[in-house]
Amino acid sequence: MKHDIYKFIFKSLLAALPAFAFIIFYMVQDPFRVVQNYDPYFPAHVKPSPGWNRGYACVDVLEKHGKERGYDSFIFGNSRSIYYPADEWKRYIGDTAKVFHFDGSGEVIEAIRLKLHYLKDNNYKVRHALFVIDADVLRGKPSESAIGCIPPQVTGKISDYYLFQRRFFQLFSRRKFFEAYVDYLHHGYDEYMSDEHMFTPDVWDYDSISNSEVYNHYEQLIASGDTAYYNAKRMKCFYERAKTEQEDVPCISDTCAIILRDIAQMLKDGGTDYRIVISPKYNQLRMTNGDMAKLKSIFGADKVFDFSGKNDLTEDYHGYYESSHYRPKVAREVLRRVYTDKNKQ
Amino acid sequence: MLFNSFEFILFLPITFLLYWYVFKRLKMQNIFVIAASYLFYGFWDWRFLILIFITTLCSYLSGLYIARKTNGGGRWLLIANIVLNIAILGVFKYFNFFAENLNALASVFGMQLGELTINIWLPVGVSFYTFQALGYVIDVYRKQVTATHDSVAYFAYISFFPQLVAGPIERANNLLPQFTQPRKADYATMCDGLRQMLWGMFKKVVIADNCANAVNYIFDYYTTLSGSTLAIGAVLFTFQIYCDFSGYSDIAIGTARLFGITLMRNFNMPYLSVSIADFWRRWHISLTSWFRDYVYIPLGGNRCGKNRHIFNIAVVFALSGLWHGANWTYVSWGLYHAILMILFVLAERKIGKTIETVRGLPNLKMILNMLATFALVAVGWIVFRAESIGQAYEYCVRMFSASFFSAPSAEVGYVKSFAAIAILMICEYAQRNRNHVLDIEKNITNRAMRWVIYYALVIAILLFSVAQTKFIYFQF
Repeated sequence: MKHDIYKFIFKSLLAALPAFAFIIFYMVQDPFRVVQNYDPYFPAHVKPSPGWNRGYACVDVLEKHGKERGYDSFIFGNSRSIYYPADEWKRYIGDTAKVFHFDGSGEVIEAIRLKLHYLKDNNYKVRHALFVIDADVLRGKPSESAIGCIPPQVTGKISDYYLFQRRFFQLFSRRKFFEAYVDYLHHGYDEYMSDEHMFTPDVWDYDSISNSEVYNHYEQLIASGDTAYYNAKRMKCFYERAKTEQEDVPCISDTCAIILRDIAQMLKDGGTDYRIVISPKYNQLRMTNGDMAKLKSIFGADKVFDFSGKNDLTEDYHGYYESSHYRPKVAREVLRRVYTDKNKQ
Repeated sequence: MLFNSFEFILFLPITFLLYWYVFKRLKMQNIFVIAASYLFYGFWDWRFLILIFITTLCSYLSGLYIARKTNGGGRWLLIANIVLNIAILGVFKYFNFFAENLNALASVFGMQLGELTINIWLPVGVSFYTFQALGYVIDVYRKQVTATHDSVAYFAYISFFPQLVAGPIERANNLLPQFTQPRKADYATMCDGLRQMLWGMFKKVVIADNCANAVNYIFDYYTTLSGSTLAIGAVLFTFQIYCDFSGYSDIAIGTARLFGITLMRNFNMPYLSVSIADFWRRWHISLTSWFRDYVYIPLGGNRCGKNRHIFNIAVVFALSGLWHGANWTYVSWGLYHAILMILFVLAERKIGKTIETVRGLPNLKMILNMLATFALVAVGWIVFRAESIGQAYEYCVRMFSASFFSAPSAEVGYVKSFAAIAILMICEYAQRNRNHVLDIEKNITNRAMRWVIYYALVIAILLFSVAQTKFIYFQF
């Protein structure tokens, strides 16, 4: 009987050879940078590539260099927070600050809370914090997608490490992705690959010290002439907005309020100097008075700065790369107003 | 835990190794089977374990009590058991359906009954294991099965993970004795089980899941598509549901064989049926035979007057439709098949020559019979797939309109699906006298050729997987 089982196991393994080859190919290629060790996590110049989990990358950098670099100032938020230049922020909080971008794709408020806990548990002193949030962050529930899920290092659960790896492997084993990836290896990036966020089409430079994504390439294109970047194809995304200011739907639920209070308590306990910025989104939907009142009552009126709705920052499409993300020049202006000129918000 | 999940890929080899190497004694193996099965089932929601435990315990104790009553005193316990199991199904599966319909009926008479529905989850596979437990108690009452005193074997029989959530609905006289006798790891049996799993996975991942994309699109946008495209949608769903469900059964039967257990056959190439009666001997055999033995025959079967026979057929098919879900579409699907069966009976036709008896290719008459049966079955699946009877009606009206003869929409990608379906049908026809399609050791004696086929299937599963999707029959 034993002999039969050995023979059967051998045959099963033999039959599974293509599956093993597939797994090895995935591990060697590691298209999502979640299997192998990377230091620095991103190359200096990043070309269009398969979608990465930005949150995972941030924690990985912190785990490798956080203590040695002594990070003490953190920028939290979704992908819109990436465009807040670390050096610019340092102008307002002090040159000695060690700034770290601790954001995530499609970040939600629960992820920010968990990240603050992570920092606390790992004995980071958070001297300064900047929260770049909006209705999406407050309203959102933790994503189950590979690219947008909360990194497992932050939740600390063993099962989350497994789920995290499983999500990426599942993404890789989807026929559509696999075909695109093989094509990408042979012929490089093509526009169709960014369908369903399989690939990110962006080209950017990586600042490994502050963990920033710097979009020099797009800024140079914009500087070289209006239509070089804002060509007809890109302009399609800038949809027409309402003539009068519209109010967003309420986004702070009871659960969200509990999370926000926990965040406020941690910031208070840590003696953190912080600001909360409501992003100037292209949709020009103004955050409701009720939500603003809740935010101010939890964090204090002097800490919350609302740039949503119709205003000079949201009016001109030149302030945006596309209808979702605003440019660093807008982020700079936001910082200036937050730290020096509160009346103009 | 789904068969096509990563969890199962880890679960199966670990369970297999522990089963054969660590828990070698029969009792220990059975205890291990229960533990592994409860883990497998608890992956959905551990609270559902309470329900399956209660069902198992009640039917086990009822069986013992009924067996002791030699003079028919167990009748009340049998009735109580039937009521209990139907009550479980009624509460978890049908309560909201009946409440909504009662409300609708009351409103016709100008009455308001208020909010009757309850917020409750449908436990996975409840219809399958409830029927299995119920079948055991009835068999004991009829003295067709000896009530077991071995509680561990009985719990293993009800909870055995390969068939727990979507069948086959096993009979006690087939499966229960296998848990009371020592099992042997046989190389040939295990290899055959692995082959059947491979074929099941191919049907699920490559055919069913790929058909699902086009089917979902067509049923979502059926009001804007041509009749020919809707016909393609109906055909693709016909294969989707077959490959999805029979794929599950193949994986279940194959998995069971790795543990030295033989489960009953659940599908026997139903789309090669030559008549509707032939179809129902090949489709979801374990459920059909359950209804035959526990509902149809007790009602009188066909050994009664014609009107009563027709009534019996209608009852069985309506119940079979309702078994699938709490929706009028399922009941209508059952009644549609009842009508087809009644017409078959009234025409006094016999199943006659079936595909297994054919040498070489079938003759024209048989091909036409197969196509006609397939077309009738496919129309039935439209009702089954639709969200309401109204939608099914509109779908059929549009499908049988003048645009039936126009070119199908190019937006819907179905060429690859039809290529896979063609492979399926050719293979099924070629292997019509075998237990499953990959039972090829005797036909293909060249070992290298067999391995080419295995690898081709494994690679197809890897490359054609769309995303991890649930099996359709889990909702039943």
